[in-house]
Amino acid sequence: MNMAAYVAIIGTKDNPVYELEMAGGNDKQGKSLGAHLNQFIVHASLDIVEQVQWTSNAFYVRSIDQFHELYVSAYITPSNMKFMLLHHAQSSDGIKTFFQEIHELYIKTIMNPFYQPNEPIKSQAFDLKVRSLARKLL
Amino acid sequence: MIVHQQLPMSVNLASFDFLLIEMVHMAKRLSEKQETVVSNDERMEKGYSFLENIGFQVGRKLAERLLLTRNRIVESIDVMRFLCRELWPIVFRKQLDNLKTNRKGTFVITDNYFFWFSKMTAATGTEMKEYTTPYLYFPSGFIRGVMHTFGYPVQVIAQCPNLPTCIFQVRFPQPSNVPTTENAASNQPSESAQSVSQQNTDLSRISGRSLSSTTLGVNNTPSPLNPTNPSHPEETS
Repeated sequence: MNMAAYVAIIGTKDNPVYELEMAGGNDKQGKSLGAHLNQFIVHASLDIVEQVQWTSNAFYVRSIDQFHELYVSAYITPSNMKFMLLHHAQSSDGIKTFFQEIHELYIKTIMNPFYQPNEPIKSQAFDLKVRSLARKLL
Repeated sequence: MIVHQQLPMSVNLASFDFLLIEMVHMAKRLSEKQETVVSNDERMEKGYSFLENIGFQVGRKLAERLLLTRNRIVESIDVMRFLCRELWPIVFRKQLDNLKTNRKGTFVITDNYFFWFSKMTAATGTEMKEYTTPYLYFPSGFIRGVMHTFGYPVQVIAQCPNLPTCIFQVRFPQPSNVPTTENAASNQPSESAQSVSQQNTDLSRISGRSLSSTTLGVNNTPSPLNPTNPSHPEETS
């Protein structure tokens, strides 16, 4: 079940903190969008995220937007960091678990005294872990 | 993982006490090396603002970590509730003794036996003020950091009238249409004041929430963060 996906962590000033592009196995259909377009779609749905965040007090706000065949799901942390996922229609349980695991990884990154929240995350270890989680859960 | 209050944790507590003492001494040494400042007070402020920044970082990160297990906080009232009911017992190992508000965005937190200061003894009145003031920078930075996680750039003023008792004033930023000489909204690090003075400025209240940053157009509110709920908490918990 390894479809193409794009994970992004967006900070409180709409700055991208982390991005990950996962190519799916069936990329040769010719319909895959360029990487810049993925980021564009995800950022364009940030307005909706901000609207939705006041209505529920859960972290996971599930699928909030759609662009042709791609869905955008969001997860908002208490400190207003937004974890966004661009994917084809998939099971939302796997996505919820994925977001929760990424949240824990994010908190561990924050515990690093050399890292200030809202800075870009450049750690290789973080990247590898997110990749393996994406492979496992998405 | 919530810290149990009943566990003694004496090693943790003792090492934190020593760390705090040494940090304050280091800040004092740093402040004495400052050459470009004018007066003694200013020198102290500059030197100790580094302590306040450390407290700020710790507060931010700790709040982030503690919020993992509970749902997101949407109401602004719940922010103060979280601080007083949940954070305070975890960090300071006892409940708050008093929380007052003046309904214009200022909260006064009174703790009658401030845990981090429990090992300090009281000297005479004026000496005590002079000696405990440096130690107040870290806690006030801590509180400021916690509020920052929620998106509120508050200003915290700490005082210690009698030794185990500590009073923290938390001021939420106020948007005001009347330019005031005392700017209640500021991003500056906290200071410890020698007297409690309530500022009677004519402030207007915001009700309702703004959904996008473009509607937060009022002058004196610096909001470097993405818009969060600008309405002030109006009730005490």
